[in-house]
Amino acid sequence: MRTEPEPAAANGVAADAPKPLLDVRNLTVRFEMLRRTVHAVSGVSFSVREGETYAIVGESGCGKSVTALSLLKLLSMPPARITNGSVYFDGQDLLELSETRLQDLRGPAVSYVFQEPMTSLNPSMKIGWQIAESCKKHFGMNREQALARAREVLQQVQLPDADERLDSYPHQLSGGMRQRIMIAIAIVCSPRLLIADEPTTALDVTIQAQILDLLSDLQKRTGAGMILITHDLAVVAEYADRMMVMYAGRKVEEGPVDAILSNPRHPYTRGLLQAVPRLGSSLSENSGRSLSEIPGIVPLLDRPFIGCPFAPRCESAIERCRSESPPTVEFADGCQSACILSESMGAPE
Amino acid sequence: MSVGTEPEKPLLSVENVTKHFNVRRGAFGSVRATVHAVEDVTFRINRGEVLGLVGESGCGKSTIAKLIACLHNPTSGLIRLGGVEISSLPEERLRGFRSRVQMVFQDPYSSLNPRMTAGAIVEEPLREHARGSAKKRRERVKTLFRQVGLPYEMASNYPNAFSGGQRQRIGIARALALDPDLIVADEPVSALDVSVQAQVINLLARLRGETGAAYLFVSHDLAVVEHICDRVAVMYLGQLVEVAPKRELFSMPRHPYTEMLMQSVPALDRRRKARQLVVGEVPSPFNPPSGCRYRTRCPLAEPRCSESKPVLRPVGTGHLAACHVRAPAVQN
Repeated sequence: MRTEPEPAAANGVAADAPKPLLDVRNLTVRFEMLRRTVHAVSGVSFSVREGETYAIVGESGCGKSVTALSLLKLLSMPPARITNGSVYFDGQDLLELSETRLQDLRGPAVSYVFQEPMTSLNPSMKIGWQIAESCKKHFGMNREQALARAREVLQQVQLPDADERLDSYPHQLSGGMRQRIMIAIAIVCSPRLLIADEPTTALDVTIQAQILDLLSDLQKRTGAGMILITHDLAVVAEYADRMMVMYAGRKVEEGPVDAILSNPRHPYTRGLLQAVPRLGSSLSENSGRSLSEIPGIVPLLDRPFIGCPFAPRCESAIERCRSESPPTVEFADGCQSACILSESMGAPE
Repeated sequence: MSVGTEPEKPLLSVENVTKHFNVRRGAFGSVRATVHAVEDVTFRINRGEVLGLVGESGCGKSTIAKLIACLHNPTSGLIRLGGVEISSLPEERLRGFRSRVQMVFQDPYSSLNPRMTAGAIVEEPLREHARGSAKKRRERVKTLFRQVGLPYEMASNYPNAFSGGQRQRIGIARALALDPDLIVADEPVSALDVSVQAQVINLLARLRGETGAAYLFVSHDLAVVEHICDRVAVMYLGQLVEVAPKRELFSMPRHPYTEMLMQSVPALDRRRKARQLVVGEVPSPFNPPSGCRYRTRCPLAEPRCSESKPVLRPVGTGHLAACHVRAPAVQN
């Protein structure tokens, strides 16, 4: 199997860039079940800087959520097992820390916004207390102080009638309002890194725009880093600075968003970009053409791969793709592509 | 109210259809509230045409899909299929009509019986409607499998052996089995990943050419609808706000809601844009605003918008919009 012994400087980070807030190296996660082992994440490395939005993109099952949950060991272990890698945050390896130490970090250092605002909130607890709870734990605030902080945060997430909402239960709110509550819970301890796992997938587009604008504004104000996990490339195009494309538990391409979207090197990234119908397509000269397909389906991850995991679906695949692990090829514009064929590609003119 | 100018007789016409759901206190209790799910909706679908129905969740688009498939009865209004009023037919006569309208559902995981083989699922409508001998039916199933791009060798497998995209192909084959005039597809690709979604969209487009069936394509995804449909109807809170041929709609949306919807869609070729601020949320369908239902979020709202309900009026060729400001009544 391929390993990536990468120093931080080679990881898409220019020499004069600030030290990364989060540095993930060679993360490998398996799910060890009774009869089979699923290789969910295989040797993924990336880093996130302060104030930066880093997007992880991929289809379901590609390992993007498992990657995010591994960072603070939120997976249930067993069956999950982090078999290799390190997650440096502020110079310490989170994977080496005890559960007690991790609990201290969840909230003030790193916090999550999950996909399902319906199921992630406690249905029998008032909103105000769900937000205030972590302030009490982490900052030793008393009840009044914590609730006052909760009210402040509700205003930051632009929820109308904040006072009234403190006493509401989740079922009294709409999906968009619940997602604002989720964000309020995530930012109440002023985290330095926010991990948003498909924060708008369950929401309508008009509400999606509101929530993503809100996350982006909050991030700008606090200077926190953000990992934005999504399957929607258009969301990445509008809101992220750098991105990683994952396939079958691996990083296949990484780099600045503009560079990747305008000049994707990996055939999977190219395929994804061409498979998405675009708004305004009926007005272009290509109107009526069928969408490009990526043939076949995502491979099962219950055995290690020989060669490139995308090779069976890849139209440009050559014989070597099936027998050799793809090298990680780096380009002058800060992009990396894990594809043998990328070796012959240059940077854009 | 007349919709469309084509003299051609439509395959389906939906005329002033309203659907209310009563929410009761317990199973037999008194009516506690009424959901105004669909309010006075009128549109038509011509033979072989693909009409897209878009809107946010809770706007009533799935209710319309179910009304057309006769899975709900309208509270008032008429639904005609090939000129025959189907919304009030007795069940035994309705049976024949049901075979002419078939549905493809959103969730390929819950819409297939896990205890039936793929072949049996596709054959079921043929059996139910007693089409042909067992041998003929098997032949038909074979053809259907080929049409939707599934190997027939997999017909004896149960749904759990198929991927999401393959399951959706089974659902599509089942809908095609009776050779319907109209296929009602309710968010058929929303549960699928991008790469598989493209496969299913292309399949639907190809099948449309092969079978000549018309589609009502219900979706929240404007780009998918634009790709696959001929005309598009936009719904907001139970009402149609705009209907137009797709080029017309996407180049020149007239209703402020349609505009807002289009601006909300993130685009690949754009950094975070200075979009018109999307304000507020959809009001509750229990107690919709008076007059124009969009007025509470509309930047153009005027006093008259709360006084009377705007009706669909022509604003271009085959282009209708329901807006007092953008499509005002002609003054005599």
